Amino acid sequence: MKFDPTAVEQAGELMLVGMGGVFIVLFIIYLVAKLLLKFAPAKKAAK
Amino acid sequence: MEALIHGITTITLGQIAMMLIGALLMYLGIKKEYEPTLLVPMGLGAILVNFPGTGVLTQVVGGTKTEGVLDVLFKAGINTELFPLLIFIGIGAMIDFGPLLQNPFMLLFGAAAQFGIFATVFVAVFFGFNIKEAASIGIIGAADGPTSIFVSNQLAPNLLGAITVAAYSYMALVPIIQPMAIKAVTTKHERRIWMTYRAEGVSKTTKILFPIIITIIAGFIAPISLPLVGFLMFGNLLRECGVLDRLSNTAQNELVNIVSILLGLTISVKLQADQFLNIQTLMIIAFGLFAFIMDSVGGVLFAKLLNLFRKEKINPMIGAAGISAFPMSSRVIQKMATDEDPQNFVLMYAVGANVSGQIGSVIAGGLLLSFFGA
Repeated sequence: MKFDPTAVEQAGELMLVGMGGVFIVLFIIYLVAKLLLKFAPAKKAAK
Repeated sequence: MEALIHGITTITLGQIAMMLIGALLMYLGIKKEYEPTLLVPMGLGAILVNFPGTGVLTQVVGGTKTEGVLDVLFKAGINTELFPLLIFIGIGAMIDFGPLLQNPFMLLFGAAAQFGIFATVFVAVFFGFNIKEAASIGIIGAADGPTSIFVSNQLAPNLLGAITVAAYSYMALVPIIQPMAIKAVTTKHERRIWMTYRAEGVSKTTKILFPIIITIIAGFIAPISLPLVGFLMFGNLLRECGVLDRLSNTAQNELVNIVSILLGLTISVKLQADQFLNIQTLMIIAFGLFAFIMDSVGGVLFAKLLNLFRKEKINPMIGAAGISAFPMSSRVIQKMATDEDPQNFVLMYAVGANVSGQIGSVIAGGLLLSFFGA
């Protein structure tokens, strides 16, 4: 096992791609959830 | 006579040490109830595989190869990634996305709390692991057993044993790790922030469409993650569609139980002394703890960042619930909240974030694999 400086660079890229990707995907899912709640609302309980 | 004492005369100190580790895993599982579903079979498996000439592993005796049952199961269920994926169907069937859909904003904490995965990659690289090994170690931070197994089996199968032991052990230690990590980055005032529960109703149509749409999104953005995401969402669809209750019950119970039995025993193939007892294993166990701590820290700091821009503040502890250790993490956060203020009920927000963490961890695992073109 040896320290490899290029691996640090790759780890940085992975951090950007990984955290950025997870945030983007979950943000898209958040928008989808909001749309679903708006266009397929729950039935209100009968009074 | 020599044949009778062959095992005693040829056993190594390393193998004896591994048997003691196996006994420790069983003790943690049985006495302390730390994830017994995996730790007990792994513990006994560790003993089985560390006998010289053990019949559970493939042996060559006098030129004849005899397949060992655990090697057969390993090729069938771990090399093929089948066992973790089948468990995911069951996990998906157990998830209720209702609390998350009632507060969709909690989705963002499921993203933030994956920070520990990528922070650990840096640390592992600095200590000399190559990038694929570092990514496999980082995935311990997903706080999800099947995801950890799925990713590390593809990127660094030589580290699978240590990673699995670390992942499942730390998942069981969430009630100890999270409070320490959260208190280090929050003030008492912040932990006492009130959250008023405002639930939106969620229709059956929404609950049915949600897993289908997540699968489609994951398919376009990270198709390599589709086995993980697809099987998880398939399990959820079985639960929510309302017409497959029998299959949903089977997935949640018999399927998960059978595969867990096989998975726990089979992973022990990687607990042989010559593969497990090395300095790398100690480092992996240390880095796994770091990953879990940084997950909680990442989630909390993200919540504090959002609070800078929000009038209605979020209790930052909810950020820490964005890890995938469901439902333990949400209960830990609720307990911490009521310890600070007995009237503060953050459970439904914490559950939403916790469920989001299950999606986030699977997406993170898929993105890791996509990065390496695995």
